[in-house]
Amino acid sequence: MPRDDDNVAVAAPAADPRYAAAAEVLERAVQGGVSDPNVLYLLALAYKRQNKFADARAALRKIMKPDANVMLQMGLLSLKEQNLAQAEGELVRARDMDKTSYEIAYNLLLTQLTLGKLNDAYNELPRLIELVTPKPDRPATPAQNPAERRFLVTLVALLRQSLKGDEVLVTDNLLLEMAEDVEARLLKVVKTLGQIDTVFRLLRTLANSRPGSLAVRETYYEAALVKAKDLMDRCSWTEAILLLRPLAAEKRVNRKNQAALLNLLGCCASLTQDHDSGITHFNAVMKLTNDDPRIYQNLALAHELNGELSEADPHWNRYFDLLDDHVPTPADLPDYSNLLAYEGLSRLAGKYSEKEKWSSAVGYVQRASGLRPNDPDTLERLFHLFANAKRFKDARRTLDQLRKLRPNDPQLDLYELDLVEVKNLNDIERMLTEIDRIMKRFPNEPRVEERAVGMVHNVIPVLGNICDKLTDEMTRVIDQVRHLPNYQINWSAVREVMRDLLKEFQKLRRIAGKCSPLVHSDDLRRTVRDLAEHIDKKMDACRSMMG
Amino acid sequence: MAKALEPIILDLASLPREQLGPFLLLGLDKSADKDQIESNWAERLKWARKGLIKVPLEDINWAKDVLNERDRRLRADAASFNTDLTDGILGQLSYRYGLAGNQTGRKWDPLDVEKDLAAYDPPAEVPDKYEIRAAVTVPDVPEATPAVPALLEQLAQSPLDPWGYELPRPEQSAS
Repeated sequence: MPRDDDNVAVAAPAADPRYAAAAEVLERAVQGGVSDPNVLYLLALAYKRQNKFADARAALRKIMKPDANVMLQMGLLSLKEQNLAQAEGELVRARDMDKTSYEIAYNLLLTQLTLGKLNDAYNELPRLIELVTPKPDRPATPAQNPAERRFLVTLVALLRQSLKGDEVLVTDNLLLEMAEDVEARLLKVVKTLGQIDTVFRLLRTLANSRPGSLAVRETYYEAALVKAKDLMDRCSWTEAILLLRPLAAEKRVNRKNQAALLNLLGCCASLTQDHDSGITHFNAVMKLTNDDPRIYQNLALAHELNGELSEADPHWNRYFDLLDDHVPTPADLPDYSNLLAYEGLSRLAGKYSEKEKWSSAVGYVQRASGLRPNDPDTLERLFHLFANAKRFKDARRTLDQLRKLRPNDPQLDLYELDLVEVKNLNDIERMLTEIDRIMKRFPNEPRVEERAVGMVHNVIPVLGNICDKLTDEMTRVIDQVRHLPNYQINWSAVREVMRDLLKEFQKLRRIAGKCSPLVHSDDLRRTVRDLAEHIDKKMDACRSMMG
Repeated sequence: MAKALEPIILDLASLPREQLGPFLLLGLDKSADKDQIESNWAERLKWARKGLIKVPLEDINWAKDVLNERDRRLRADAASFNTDLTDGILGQLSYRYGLAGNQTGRKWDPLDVEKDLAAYDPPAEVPDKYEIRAAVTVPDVPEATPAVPALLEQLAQSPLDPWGYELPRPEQSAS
């Protein structure tokens, strides 16, 4: 009787050492000039049982006049090597030589089905049915039993219906009123064909024919999932959606398969930029699964791609909570989960930083820092985020930690200045004095120089703004003086205002002077020089007004 | 009668390769190891060359490069969708239905029937064992070694295992 086990053992069992000994003796005989087909056949079997398929085939090929069984053996070797096209050819030859062999006909049928040749298989079936039909004048063979015949007759009906197409209404009673054992056998056989297009096609026909059968429904659902995976592997997202969508509402199948299907649908939807549908599907999966980190990641990504960073936030956090050793990781990359969590957290911090959402970014980097507490790069990043978020106390604490890890880093002195809140010219002046001091302390230190230049670069526009404000104030006073008759002008008040303005301009000029040696680019130098000249003119104007 | 309208599949624009990620481009689970990456990459190259997929060769190579560098792979993992769940149900189904490992593979066991050659008599001349025994002249055992007859007796009585017999190699027998 045929064995239609779901899974063929992958690893071949260790060969009996007697086969090796037999092969050695027989090989010697062949080398000695023996060309007896039985010796060659036995040699081929000895090799086959040791899983030496090429040697077995070579021995069979030496048989001058191969009979049906020799061709069957060659076909079996081709099947072992998963060379189905060759197996089919050999089995067809075997069948032509021996039309009474059930084994040859059965193997040929399944090979053709696996190759997706439904028409050929359909044409082959009547002969097979004849072989399993007992003959009145002969003793019945093991294959000649009613169950086998019933199965084959039903398979004919299934192939016929499948070849007609799914739009044709099923009227065949063989399919509509199939016995449970036949249905189970059919499902087993179809599931093991290994050609997903054929499997899916036959199961779809079977599902249409037997809508009430849970077993058929479940198997069809599984095949649809595999078919959709196949489509996704070819980046055919839309086709996968069309295949899966009608099955999304199916509630009679097991929850794991439902979750897998909705997840695939969600992925396909998001990949075709229909993020809203993606989110809906992923949310549906969430209800079917028990805290699966991969689903949280998918949902978070769908929200993120939909421009909803804040909605993605809780899902990302849950994902990182669940990311542990249970998540499948590549065997050749140790500690993958931790590395992935760190990378994911850093990535999100970057996303929030780009949007200047400093407090969210801080949260993710703090978590990343928890994974690598002594990593100076992470601490440095955390420090900057604290500074940007105006959490100076936390920033200072982080800077202290950083100093312990990088005691000789000259940049850290400059980082200290990031914590000074610049409110007026005195703050700017103090900051520039500090920068100058640090640069003198660490001469020829490119990182310090670069950072110092960056800070000065930030200061120059502030100086420009202050200069503009002072100029506006001065212009307003001068306008009033020009438009008022002399007797109405309070000259002492004017002089006092001008004195104050002059003091401010002098301070500004001093600061501009301090900036000048700290900038290296020609553009910036020119800006500072222009600013200084502008301030000089304003100072002269103040002096002239002071009399 | 008017011909029934065929459904039109509108292929919507998919995401750029950086957002698609290398795992989806190569059809890999995120737990794929180096061998799987190599195998799927080679398969996709073949598909792309045959026009079976619309993914450009450049993207396929890009995906492989990303996955072969640990840090880039981690970044890609963090930012790309999972087609399978943590329990790997889709992978298991793919294997069960013969889709795993990039090739369709039958899972059914073929029927094997071998010729019954138990009664097969090889057409070779087999010498008569009695004649051979009669032709063998056993030399007298020298009296100086009295233990030898006992040892020979013991050897003659021990069971003979034809499968355990080591045939001399041709070169040994020639020498």
